[in-house]
Amino acid sequence: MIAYSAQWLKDLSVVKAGREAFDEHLISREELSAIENRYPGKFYTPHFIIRIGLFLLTLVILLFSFGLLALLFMSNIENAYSGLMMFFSIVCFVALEVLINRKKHFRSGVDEALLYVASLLLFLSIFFIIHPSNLVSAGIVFIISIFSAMRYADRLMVLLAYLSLGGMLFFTAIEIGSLMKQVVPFLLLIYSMLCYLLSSRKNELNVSFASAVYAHCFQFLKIISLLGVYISVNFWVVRELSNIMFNLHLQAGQTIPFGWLFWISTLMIPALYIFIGLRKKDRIFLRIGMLLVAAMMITIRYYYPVYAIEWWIGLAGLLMILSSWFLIRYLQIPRNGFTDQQDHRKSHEDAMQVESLVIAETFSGTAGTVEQGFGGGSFGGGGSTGTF
Amino acid sequence: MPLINSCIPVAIWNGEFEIILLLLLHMDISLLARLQKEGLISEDSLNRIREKEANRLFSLHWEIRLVLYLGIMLFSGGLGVLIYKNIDTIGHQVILGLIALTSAGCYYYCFRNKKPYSPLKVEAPNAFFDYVLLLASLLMVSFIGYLQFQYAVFGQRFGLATFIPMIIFFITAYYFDHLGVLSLGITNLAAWLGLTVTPARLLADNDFNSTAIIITAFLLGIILLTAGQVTLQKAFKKHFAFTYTNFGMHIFYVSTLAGMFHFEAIYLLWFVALTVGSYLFYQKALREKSFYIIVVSAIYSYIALSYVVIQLLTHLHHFDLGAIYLGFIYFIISGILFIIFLMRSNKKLKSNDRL
Repeated sequence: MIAYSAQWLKDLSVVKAGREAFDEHLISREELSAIENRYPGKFYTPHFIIRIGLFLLTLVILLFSFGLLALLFMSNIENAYSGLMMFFSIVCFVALEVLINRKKHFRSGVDEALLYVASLLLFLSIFFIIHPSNLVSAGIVFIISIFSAMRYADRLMVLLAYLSLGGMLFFTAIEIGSLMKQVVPFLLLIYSMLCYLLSSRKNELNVSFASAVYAHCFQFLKIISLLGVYISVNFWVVRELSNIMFNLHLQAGQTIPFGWLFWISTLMIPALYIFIGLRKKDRIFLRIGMLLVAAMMITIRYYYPVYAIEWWIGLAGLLMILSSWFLIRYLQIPRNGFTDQQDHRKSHEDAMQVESLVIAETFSGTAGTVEQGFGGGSFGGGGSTGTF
Repeated sequence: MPLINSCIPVAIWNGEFEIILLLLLHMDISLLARLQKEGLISEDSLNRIREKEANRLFSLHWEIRLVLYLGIMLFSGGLGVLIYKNIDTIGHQVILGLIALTSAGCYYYCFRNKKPYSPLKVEAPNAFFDYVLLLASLLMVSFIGYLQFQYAVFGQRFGLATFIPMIIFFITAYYFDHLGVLSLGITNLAAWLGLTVTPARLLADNDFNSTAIIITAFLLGIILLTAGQVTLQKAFKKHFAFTYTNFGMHIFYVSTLAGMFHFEAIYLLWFVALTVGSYLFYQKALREKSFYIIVVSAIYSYIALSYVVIQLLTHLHHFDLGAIYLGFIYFIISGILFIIFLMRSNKKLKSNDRL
């Protein structure tokens, strides 16, 4: 099923494990080169910054090729765009296959750009031909993306497959009737949980490929399904979405059926994730839990503006400073297997450079606004790193 | 441009998901055990790996830093708004005094705890040092800004109100060795010249239709690039060089591109300047084995070249459908050529893995 050479993918993961061990001075250089010779894996995968350039340039080429094609046919056949899209999509898929088989590209930026453009055009062409309902659209997206995910082991396609299958469930449920509308959040909750189980269980797919071929897809599925679990039962999402989708015309302060249940899940899930993350030493759980604490606070703030916002954020900030200060002190010596020391497995020089850009981005407002006056400290800035 | 802006995150995300999220996973012991059975690594090595993995600690370093950083941001933001709203009851002198005291306290802490100065890289003595220093210099700048706003100590010389913070930032950055404060110094230098140069706002906040802005930005870019080069050659805080070069490179390219778009009569002159810059960047990238410089300068050069080609095509004597075809064909062929160029460069630099 997989388009890339499965043996080479396996080679990659073996060599990666070897490199990690070498970086920590656990094996000698001779041992590393022995591993590399035994598991050669000759994919063409350039440096990741080069890949960004290749990705962008491939998009430019595809865009203008499609434009040229459209120009050529525009005068002859009116309304032939869906056919043209279908044709171009097939051309892209063929090019992708050739690139993988002949040129041995693997995540080179070029193959990803081809895959995305091909899938997008395929969907659009079908969409314009049959003008499907929401349910059928989601079904088409699911078929295309699950195929692409399995054949090209691509994360974006995993995300699309996950979302579109969830969308199919959603649209089916609301078509069945009013009772189903009430249980839609739980349906999606169960769906996300099943996806999580699929991603984390040592199932056949996971093991037989020796964590090489689809490992990163399953890891990604784990992340998105954990997020999905929270999103499907978050109070804000459920209330506002049911308000819009089912025309409930809720007034401010009015709640939804089972509102208390959603408040419990809104509050409990982030804590639960952090607890699991610390208990099992699982970084994905821990980070998602931290992210969701922020989501939880925003949700509470949205419905219960108890204090003025500056008190709220000032206190939260103070609490965060104090607790991290305490944790850093506390973890000076390792406790229960936790430490504040950095894991030195990856170079942290680059992280420092990124951090300095984040500082420039988020704090330079204080200095820059001098001319306009002391404007109450602009904080926030979304933490976007932009370029690095 | 917006197309490129929105595609870059996708590309980065695709590229190095694990590195960006710093997801450090466990080593695959069973895999390494199999390698041992195959005779590729020795028994000793495997035992070392087993022992290392058994004693591996779970690092909370970045998680705690993130909480600390967000905490500082929220706290200072909340406090700022609070003071702003209650200025009438608290009084300016009290607040000024508080800010000055806190800043002085933070600086005092840094002076007490700092390691001896050296022109080389100096590690922070402890986990809080960098954050305390950041807070100290930010508060100092707020203090000066406040003084100017409330009491107009610099009168109408607004420049001075950004010049002095800039000097403070630079001295702090060099004396205590802090990359973040250096970045603030650079953005403040730009602000002093009337520019916004933070990554996300470089394009949005500047009026690149103004001749003065373009020329200022162009000169600033060259100054920063020179600073980066001198930093490297004199081996004076060598690790600062990338920050200078990075800011300088983007400012240089954006200003030359803006020059091309703005000064229609002499756009080729700006194009020549940009090309010379690209050539020098290429040499630099090869010297320093920097993939980053190559890709960034390739993308900017591509935009510039395409602009020139489009200009030439639209000024053709017979501007018709043929010219449009030519334009499309140009984009396809040049795209392929640039891809080949990037692939070749990748091969050349492959020996070293740096940003």
